[in-house]
Amino acid sequence: MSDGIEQIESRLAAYIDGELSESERAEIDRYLASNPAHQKLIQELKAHKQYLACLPRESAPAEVLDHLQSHLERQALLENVENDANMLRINRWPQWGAIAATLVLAVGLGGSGLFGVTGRFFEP
Amino acid sequence: MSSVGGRTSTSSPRVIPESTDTREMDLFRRAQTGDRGAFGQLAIRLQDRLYNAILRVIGDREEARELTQEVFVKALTKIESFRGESQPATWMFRIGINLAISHLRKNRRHRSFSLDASRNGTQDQASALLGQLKSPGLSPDQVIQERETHQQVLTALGQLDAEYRAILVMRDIENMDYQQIADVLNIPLGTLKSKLFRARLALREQMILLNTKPETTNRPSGS
Repeated sequence: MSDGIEQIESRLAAYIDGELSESERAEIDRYLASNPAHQKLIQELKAHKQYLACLPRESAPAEVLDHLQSHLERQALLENVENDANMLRINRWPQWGAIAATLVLAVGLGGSGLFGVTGRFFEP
Repeated sequence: MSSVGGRTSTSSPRVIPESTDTREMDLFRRAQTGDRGAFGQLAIRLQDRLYNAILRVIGDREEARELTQEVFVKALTKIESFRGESQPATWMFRIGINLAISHLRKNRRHRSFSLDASRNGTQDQASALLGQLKSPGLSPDQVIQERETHQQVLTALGQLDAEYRAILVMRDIENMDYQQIADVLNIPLGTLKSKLFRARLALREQMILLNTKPETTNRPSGS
């Protein structure tokens, strides 16, 4: 039942918008011709649709684009800062590499030194 | 009611040709790859339609401006989630109209929207004069009558449920097709058309109420 009502409402909306096929429109025209009260209602709805369509249009104030511009600039700035930070992080790798290499070298040298020392102890 | 620096025009909504859609899609695709200039171009193309639609749903220029700004920021944030199932304009309208509906529901206000940029008497006279210049075929009485009708329609629209308002704005003011509106509201096509008819009945009811109330209630009450 409610599906039926929804279908009728859909068809009437499309009728007002001129979106029905010729045969569908003719069917509603025939019905309305024999129901003046409903015909009047549909005429009123059509008139209101027309009123809405004729309302003056307003353009967006300049602040809308200004705000977007500031947002985009801020975003670009933040991305640059992030890129700079990334570059700094990347630039630090050689330092960390050098430290790591030094440590490996130190451990290696220490190990061989220790081996040398302990080797001497175990020398026959 | 805030003053507005926006321009007004009585031109009817544009029917967007296919080439415009293609151009907007191209700009959108470029914006998705990080081209900020392309996003700016898209914003320039869509800002008036978005602002006008949000304004007619919300009924307050200052809030409409803020929400339009929010639409662009949100669109930028979510730009990667756009998969091209709809047109960029429809996608932006989905963000904008849903923001406007939740804003209205959160604030639970009925709006009665004024046609005039401000309630300043000089501006009223100026806009009446402009109205006459824009409709040279009409007599001063007819211009006044036309303005009253516009005001009455806006007042009636301001009394409707948020979703009904949005549907009427998208269909009858922005001239969007059924499928676009159904996509924006994420409802089936049949439901959309049925709601459109009910929204029109609700508007008619409000118009009848306004015409039967004393004259003072028809006056714009601001936002």
